[in-house]
Amino acid sequence: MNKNTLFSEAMSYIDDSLITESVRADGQQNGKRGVFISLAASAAAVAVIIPVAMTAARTAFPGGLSDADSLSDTGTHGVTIDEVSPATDPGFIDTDPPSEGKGPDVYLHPTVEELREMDNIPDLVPDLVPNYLPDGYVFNYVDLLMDGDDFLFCKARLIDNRNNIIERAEEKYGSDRFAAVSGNSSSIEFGISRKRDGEVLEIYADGSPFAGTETIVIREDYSQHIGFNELTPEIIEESRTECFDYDPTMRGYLYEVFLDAGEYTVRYRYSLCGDAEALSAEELYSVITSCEYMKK
Amino acid sequence: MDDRTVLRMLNERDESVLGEIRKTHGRGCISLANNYLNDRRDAEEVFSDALLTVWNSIPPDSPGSFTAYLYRTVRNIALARYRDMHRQKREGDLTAVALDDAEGFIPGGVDPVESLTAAELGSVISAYLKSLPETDRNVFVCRYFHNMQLNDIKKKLGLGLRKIRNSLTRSREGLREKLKKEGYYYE
Repeated sequence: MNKNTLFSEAMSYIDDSLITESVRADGQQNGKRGVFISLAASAAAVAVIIPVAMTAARTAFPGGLSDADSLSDTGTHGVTIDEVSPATDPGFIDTDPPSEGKGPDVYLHPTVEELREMDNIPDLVPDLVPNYLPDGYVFNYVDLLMDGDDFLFCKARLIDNRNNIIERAEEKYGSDRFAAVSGNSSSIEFGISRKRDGEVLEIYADGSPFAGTETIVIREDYSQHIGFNELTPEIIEESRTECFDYDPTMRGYLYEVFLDAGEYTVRYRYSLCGDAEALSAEELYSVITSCEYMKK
Repeated sequence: MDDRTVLRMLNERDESVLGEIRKTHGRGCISLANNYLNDRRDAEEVFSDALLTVWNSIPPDSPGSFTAYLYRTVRNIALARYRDMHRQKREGDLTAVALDDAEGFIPGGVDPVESLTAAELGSVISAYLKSLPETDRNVFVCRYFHNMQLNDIKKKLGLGLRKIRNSLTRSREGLREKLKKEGYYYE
């Protein structure tokens, strides 16, 4: 262990009182309002699904585990949503809401109670989402995309080892319904798209958007999608509605295409390093079609 | 929500506590992770992992301070993730960025761990920091526990940069003297 590592480790052993004092010093010291850092927090919703039995291989040093070690599946799972509450989780998607033109126009982070009161999203959280979730996860927020009063899309972020999620999803849905997955993100997002008449079109899990190769798609009814092979530059041009720039210095652009042709709504999502907005439809088409996972 | 209530809810397996923790500590914990990872989404993931760790570890763990336990968990996960990410790149330890100056006051030798464990050093550092004025103490912890940049410390504590630098210099020098006096430091 070198000096820096030793010192870094040692700082994790400092007394509790020093840590809590530093946390609480925010805004209280020297008569000035402090800002912890510039990381913006926005309202989101927290939906918590607690695995019935999921044990962690712990050490006396909490959190000091690799992703691979931090979760150990005991084999018994259940999914219930007991709590949704406002949170400060900065869901990236709502930081740049669509402002004009086509596509969804409202991004919501409702509570469970609010969800239940939405007539056009009947029983979404208690019924729809758990039905399609791989079993046994902590579910830490839900985003909804609304187009007017119409529900378009719901995403929920899960907390678990990425490989655990994928493995269980494959068990549940069959590996032939998944595309290639790479990466080592420890949480993934899980989303459901459905038609405006309420029919489920697509369910997907999406990991880190680093390389644009990490989306897995479970197609409930592929025939109702614009199939990958049907995608054309023209469709992209007509349907490209938004380009979300959420951290260009680190991750490039997350680009989302909503293909809305009236009878169906399909959401393709991928990320690029660089300025996706500047790409032409042909270039975007080339990028999308170069992703092997999209072809499955 | 105060620590005692959080711990009670965790012990009662009340799932709503996770939302409460997120409300109370989400921003601070994500900021802490972001200080190490410089990536908001990774930082969010670290916080999510920390929530799961906390849920699974309390009980049986019964920390004296839940806030410290949570922040320590977030820090450990963020550090582990950073090291995983950079191991292949061989870009060096993150702490080399923030803790270059540790070279000057941490015990040397071929293998310092032989003479001083991290826990022991943590204990020495704690004792030393408790002897400092509150401001110096917080500057040190913000810098070396939270891995905050000086400008962020300035915003958080409302101090000038010069004062922060002077405070860190004094604290490091003082720690080195303490380590020397207690027989840990050798060059």
